[in-house]
Amino acid sequence: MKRTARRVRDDWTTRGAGYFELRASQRARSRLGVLCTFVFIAFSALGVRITDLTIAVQADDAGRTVVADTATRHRAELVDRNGRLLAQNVDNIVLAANPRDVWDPVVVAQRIREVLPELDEASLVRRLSDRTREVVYLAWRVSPHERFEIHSRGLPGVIFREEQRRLYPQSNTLSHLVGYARDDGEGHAGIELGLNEEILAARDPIALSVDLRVQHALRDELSAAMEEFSAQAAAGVVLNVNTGEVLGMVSLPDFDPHSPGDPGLTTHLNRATGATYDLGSVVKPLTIAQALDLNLVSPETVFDVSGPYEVASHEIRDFHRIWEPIDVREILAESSNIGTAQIAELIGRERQRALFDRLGLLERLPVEIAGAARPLVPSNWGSLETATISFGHGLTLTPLHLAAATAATINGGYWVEPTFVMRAPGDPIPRRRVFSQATSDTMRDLLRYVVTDGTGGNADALGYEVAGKTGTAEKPRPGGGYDRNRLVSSFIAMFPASEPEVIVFALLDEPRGNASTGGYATGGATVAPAVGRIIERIAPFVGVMPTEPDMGLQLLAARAIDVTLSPQ
Amino acid sequence: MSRFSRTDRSAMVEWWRTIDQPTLICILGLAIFGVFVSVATGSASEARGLGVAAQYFVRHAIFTGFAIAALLLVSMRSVREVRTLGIILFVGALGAMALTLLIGPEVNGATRWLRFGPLSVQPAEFLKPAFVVLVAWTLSQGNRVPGFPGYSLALFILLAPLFLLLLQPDVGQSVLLTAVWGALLFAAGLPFVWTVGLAVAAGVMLGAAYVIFPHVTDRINAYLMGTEGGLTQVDFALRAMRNGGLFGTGPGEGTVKVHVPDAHTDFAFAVMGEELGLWTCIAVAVIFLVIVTRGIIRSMGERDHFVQLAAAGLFLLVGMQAFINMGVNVGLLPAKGMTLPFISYGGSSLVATGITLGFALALTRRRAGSRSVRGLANAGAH
Repeated sequence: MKRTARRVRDDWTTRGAGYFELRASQRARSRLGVLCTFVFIAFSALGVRITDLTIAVQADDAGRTVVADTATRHRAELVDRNGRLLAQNVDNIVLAANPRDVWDPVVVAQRIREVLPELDEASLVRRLSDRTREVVYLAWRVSPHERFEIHSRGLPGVIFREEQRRLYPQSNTLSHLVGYARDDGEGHAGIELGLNEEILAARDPIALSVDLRVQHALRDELSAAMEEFSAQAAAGVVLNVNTGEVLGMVSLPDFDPHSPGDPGLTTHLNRATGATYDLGSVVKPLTIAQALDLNLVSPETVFDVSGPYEVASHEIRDFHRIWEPIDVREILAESSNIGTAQIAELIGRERQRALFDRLGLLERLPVEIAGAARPLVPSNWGSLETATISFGHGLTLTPLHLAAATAATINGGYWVEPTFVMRAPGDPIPRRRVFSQATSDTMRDLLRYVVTDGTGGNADALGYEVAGKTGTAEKPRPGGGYDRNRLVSSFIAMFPASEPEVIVFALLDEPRGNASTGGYATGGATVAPAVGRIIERIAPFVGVMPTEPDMGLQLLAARAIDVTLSPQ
Repeated sequence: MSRFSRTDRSAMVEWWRTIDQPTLICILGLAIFGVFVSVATGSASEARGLGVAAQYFVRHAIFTGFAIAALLLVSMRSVREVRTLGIILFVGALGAMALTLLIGPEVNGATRWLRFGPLSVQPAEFLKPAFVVLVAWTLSQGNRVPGFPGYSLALFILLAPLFLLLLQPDVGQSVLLTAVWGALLFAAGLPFVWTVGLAVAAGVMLGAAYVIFPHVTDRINAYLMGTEGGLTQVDFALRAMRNGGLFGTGPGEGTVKVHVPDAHTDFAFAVMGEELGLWTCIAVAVIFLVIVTRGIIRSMGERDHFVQLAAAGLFLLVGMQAFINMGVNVGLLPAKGMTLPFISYGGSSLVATGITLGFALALTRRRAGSRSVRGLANAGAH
């Protein structure tokens, strides 16, 4: 450098200042020419890009509007049998932000709150300041107008995501039946999971078998009964006995399908199809029907039920001891375990097991709803099991299992495969003959007698010829044996008895007796009244008219009195 | 103009005869066009709840008036006066920038403004033309006077404002200053090895900015990888331009413009594209190209080495700024906060652009013996 400087200075002294300036400006001239070329190239690139944008417009007309980014999958609507909406997809806008693009979290939070004042400012600022994250969510549901308002405030870093959300207009009413889909667009429970592929594939709404009005009545009355008897849980099923269509299915407590939370919660347990119980005496009609069908007994066949009855060195007892001999009709009406066990002994182990198999009671039900439970079949089905199973202990069943099997005893003798999807008129109904028509006719009569003269009197809805059977099962103790104070009380009913259309099964888990029941927590005391009220409410919806016109008038009169007497 | 005779020596006539008339007309045309565009961009900002459209238009028109006044006044100065003005402006702007850091309000995470009552001034805008004049003078002195530390002094002149700019922080202006500075060094005859070295250093500095400033990181990431949901400013700018098509939606008919943040400043070009059509974008780009290339070519022919460097540097400054802004608007470059001369709203930017081009016009005015070769030959005849 020093040498160069000296040389230059020498040159300067010899040649004068003008020379250097001239040389520098000549060099600058060519170099500025290079720069000018660069400028020209850069602007040419710009021109190409602008032209490209113009051509892109003609090629891609969609670019003319702000296109929504809908990423999540489409799910078909679900409707009830009358077309009422049960589940639908709605466009949802989520307000989010990239904190790294947010210049001033406080200002952004304030401007967002101008549009969404319900949001908490401190929490907004905290989330907007979290620069460790690329996306923070600020509000899950924003209307298109709110989105516009926020957008027009020009807040850097604030972004919107459009997605499909599953909306359940009936909320908790069908939480176990319909189930729910999560934000991933996949079903995670109930029909939403069981029919996931079909729902994703379908273009038109899928009609379920459920009748929303029936469902409401069922849920209403079960909730009331559950509260009245301080029960831990409740379940109910309403089934069309001829088509197998489930018209209503309730499990309580339930949950909000929009925010289901942890699927392991007890509220998520579907007690109607996903849990099995020792159901007790409601199973007896199956045993009686088989004995009738095999011509082993007639309704008038008399049994001695007075003494304790011993099977395989176990003693079988009745709830109330019955001293005089009674016939089969009374055995059912008075719900005698001893009588039923004697009848089961006539049937025998093999034939009992074969019948239960044909009634679908040894397998998981082939239904569309996810999480159907498998019955707990005893590994050793001996003579003791034959006796206890005949009156509902030792083989655990789901309520839907029982409803479908019992339907066979009164619908003409067919076991009809239950379904949650509405059957189109003319569709073949998957069913198999289990009992004869004669057995079915007799069973209608015997079960009607239970309500008119036996333990089921509380279920007798005026004018609807209710037939039915009570059930009161003691819950197994953890250490073995049964707990007298922890009951599963239930009632199975069908109406009208002369030509049953619908079967209703309801149960209360650990109900407490109260003053109105004289302290009893039995199925006849706690569940039967609720089932009677359910029948009264749903009969008009399932097309069952009161059997006699004057009965209908009496019913109206009774209701009118109710209305007059009650303060409201 | 024929009513002025060549012998008329009045200042106005002298000025008109010596000024580069085509460039002046281009500049004035651009400035007036900018006022029309402000109607569209202002209404976009109004729709976003930022002020009133009429106010943007009126203020843009007033500031454009100031800018043209500054342009004309400055363009009448002599070369010596330009150099003096440049030095004064440089020192003043540098001081104001330091003051900004101390007392300026923080807007959008940066302190770039100085408030004088109702007026907000962005000193960095005024620094740029002065900076070019000063660097050009330093480098030309280095080439003129042996032993004069031209490059070292130029480096010092760069580092002082760069330091203040990065404290604001204002990466966009820093990049622009450095780029013009590098171009001037190159033009002044920087040896080839040094040119390559400087280019490498510039790359390293850009890398450093990417690492140090989070918003630079994000914007470059967004540019390289695209963004989720496509809702960044640039995405909306592109949508606006696509929506406009070749002939635009018509004045006031743009629909996407309301989604474009900074519609009246950094993204005015895109809004203009939506409403008036992409052909106006091409027209504006061509006018800038004409002003800049014509300016540089004219500078090349200047005999005075300082004039050569300063004038070319000033045109280059305007050209680079316009190119970066338009490049960002059409998605060619990563997002960078920079105004489009004469089109974007902003008093500081408008008046500073007036001063910049005023300097450039003053320097390229024909003077006795100012043109090289031919000018030299004609000197005696004059």
